[in-house]
Amino acid sequence: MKLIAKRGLVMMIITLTFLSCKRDKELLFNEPGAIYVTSLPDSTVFTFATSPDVKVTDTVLITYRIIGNAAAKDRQIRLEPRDGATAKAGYHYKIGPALVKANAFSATVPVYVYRKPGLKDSTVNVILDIKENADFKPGFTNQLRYKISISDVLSKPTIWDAVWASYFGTYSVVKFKFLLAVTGKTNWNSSPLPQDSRYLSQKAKNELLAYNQAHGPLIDEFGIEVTFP
Amino acid sequence: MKRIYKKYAALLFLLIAVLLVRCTKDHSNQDLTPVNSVALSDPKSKAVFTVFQGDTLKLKPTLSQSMGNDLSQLEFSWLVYNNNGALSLAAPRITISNEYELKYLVKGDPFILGEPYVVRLTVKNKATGVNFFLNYNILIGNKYGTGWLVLEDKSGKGDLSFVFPDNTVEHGIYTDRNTTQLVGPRKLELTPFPVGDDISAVGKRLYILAQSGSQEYNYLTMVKKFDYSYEFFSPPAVQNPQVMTWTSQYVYSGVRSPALGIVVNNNKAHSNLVGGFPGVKKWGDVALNPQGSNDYSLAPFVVGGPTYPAIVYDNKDKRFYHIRAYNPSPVAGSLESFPSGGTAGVSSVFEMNNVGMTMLFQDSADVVHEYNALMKNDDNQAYLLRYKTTNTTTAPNITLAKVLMNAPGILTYTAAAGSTSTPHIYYSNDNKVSCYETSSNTVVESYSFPVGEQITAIKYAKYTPNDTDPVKKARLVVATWNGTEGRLYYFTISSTGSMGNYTNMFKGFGKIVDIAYKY
Repeated sequence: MKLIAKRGLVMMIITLTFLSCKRDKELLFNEPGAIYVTSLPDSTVFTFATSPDVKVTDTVLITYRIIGNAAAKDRQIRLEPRDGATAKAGYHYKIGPALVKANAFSATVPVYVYRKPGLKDSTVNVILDIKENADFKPGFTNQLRYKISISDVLSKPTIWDAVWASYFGTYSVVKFKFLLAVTGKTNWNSSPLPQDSRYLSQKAKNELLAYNQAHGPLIDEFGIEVTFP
Repeated sequence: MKRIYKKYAALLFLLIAVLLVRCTKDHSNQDLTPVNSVALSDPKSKAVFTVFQGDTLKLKPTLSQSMGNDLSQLEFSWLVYNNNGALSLAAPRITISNEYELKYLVKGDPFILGEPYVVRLTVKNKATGVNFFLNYNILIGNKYGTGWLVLEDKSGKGDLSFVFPDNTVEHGIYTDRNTTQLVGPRKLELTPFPVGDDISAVGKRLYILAQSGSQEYNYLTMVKKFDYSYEFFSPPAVQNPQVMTWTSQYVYSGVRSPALGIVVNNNKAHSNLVGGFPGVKKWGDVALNPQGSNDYSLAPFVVGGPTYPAIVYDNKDKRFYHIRAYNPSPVAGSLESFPSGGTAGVSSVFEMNNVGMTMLFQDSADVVHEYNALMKNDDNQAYLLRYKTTNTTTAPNITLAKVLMNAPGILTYTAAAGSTSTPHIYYSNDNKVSCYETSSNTVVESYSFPVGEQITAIKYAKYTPNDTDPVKKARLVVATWNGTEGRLYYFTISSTGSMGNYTNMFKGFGKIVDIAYKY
């Protein structure tokens, strides 16, 4: 009887030992992929007014990033204009290939913008929202949209006061047009590198000096002489 | 007992079977037949040796054969590959010769300057197919790495010569490698520290300034890199290059880096800021003076140091200006006045903002960050102004001396150089070099070349690191022109600044317009 009990105990321990050796399930991310906008700020005011007349199309680039794993194949980002957009798809703008390439974690989507006569006295807008498709769910809720404003009206660059004012002073349309003409710079919505700000400032000052010597002081729309600090 | 017999019988049978299997007739052809063995040796193969670009690599190892001396039965192949461990082991293998003796001009592919290579001789016995090898390890060097670079005017066209540390000279270096003509050569500008301007790889810069054809020159390969106009964001309307230099806050070579690039073109200043941030850096537009005007005329001299990255002198308004390296607002790059008066004023011995004299010459003094300026007043008197490029808030003064010079002929000097070891300025008139001592305000020594030998350039080198002389002394290098030939003289300068007689003389130059020590 004692022997039976011993053997039973040994058998039970062996059985329990084997039962405990279960393969552990790996805790890996296994959710459907999602995508969100990484461009900051999440909007741009694009104007053709800073470009020569011959330029009739340009490109706005929007960057996206995925949540989840890269895939072995290209995946589509579904972008849809939000209701109420005044910019007309195919006429004012066209969304380029919206793809996250195979094995990539991010994507840059080109949005082609077109110079149209009506933009001379109007600004059209479109908000491109991320929508769910077979490849991606929407990512972070506050990073699902990108707004593009398109015009051919000379408007004050959004970063003028924060960036350009230290190099060129108070904004005026006359001053800005003068800068566009003498520097040839078209993108005024990004901060310059130190060597560029140095050159732009010098170039503007020299050209203004030459202008003033040839034509007298350059006066802006407020009746104030254009100067640079 | 019967079982034991059976066991032994089986073992015996197995042994016999194994022995029978082993004893098969040998039909193989693997006899140990002696073959002609080739022995290759060369003391050069024992260590790495340097081969200069432009030289011919000549190799001929000792070859001996164990059976006869018939070279026609041997096949030779010289193979080259880059042996830089940082590169892939799959670096291309290139055969450069199939002769016993290698004679190969090292110029361009496959040899890259500064890279190590294996040059392998393979000798193949045609009869047996057996190969024998000998490896050489070589390093491709730049023979123009160290020495005196000489800019010459040959009937209005520029050329370069090089004086090597072993006192040999090579002429016609520029015209041998370049097609762009240097018309009216003026000046050599070398940076002894690397510059990262992102228009080419980080490295030392060498500019050749001329009336036309000015350019950035490749410091290593001695060929043109860029046109002068390419160095600017927008090229100056009038190209009249006078200075193209980089200043540094430091003097110790280990940390020396560019503070600010300054060009003086047509007597106007242009500046260039580098410093690790991205993007191409080029020289900017004309710097305006504090009145917002470009109506000034800079002397062709620029200095810089820890506090003031660049100091220039305006011969029109007869005053100094400084240019800042970086300032966000107002953005740096204009000519700026020095702080004056109050506790921050920099001028006590003379007024930096109102000197009232014309600058004729300027060079380093014998104290780090201090400079001597030769000035002429309205009464045609020569003055020595001494100032420095560094100060502190508690000791803001940078003006050090203003001396009415007792240096005959210095206002009509033809060439000059300041000593960085002793308080002396060496200057020339016609065929005579004079040594002016700034501390005693007298000319303490002079040396005259033969009559008719006009002095055209003088340079002072505190050290000549790779000189073959055992004692590294300071050296004064003087160039002369006798109407038909340019000559270069070395004077070994004593610890007290004495010239003595020249120690070396080199002939065969055109009219030398500038000299620079390249290292």
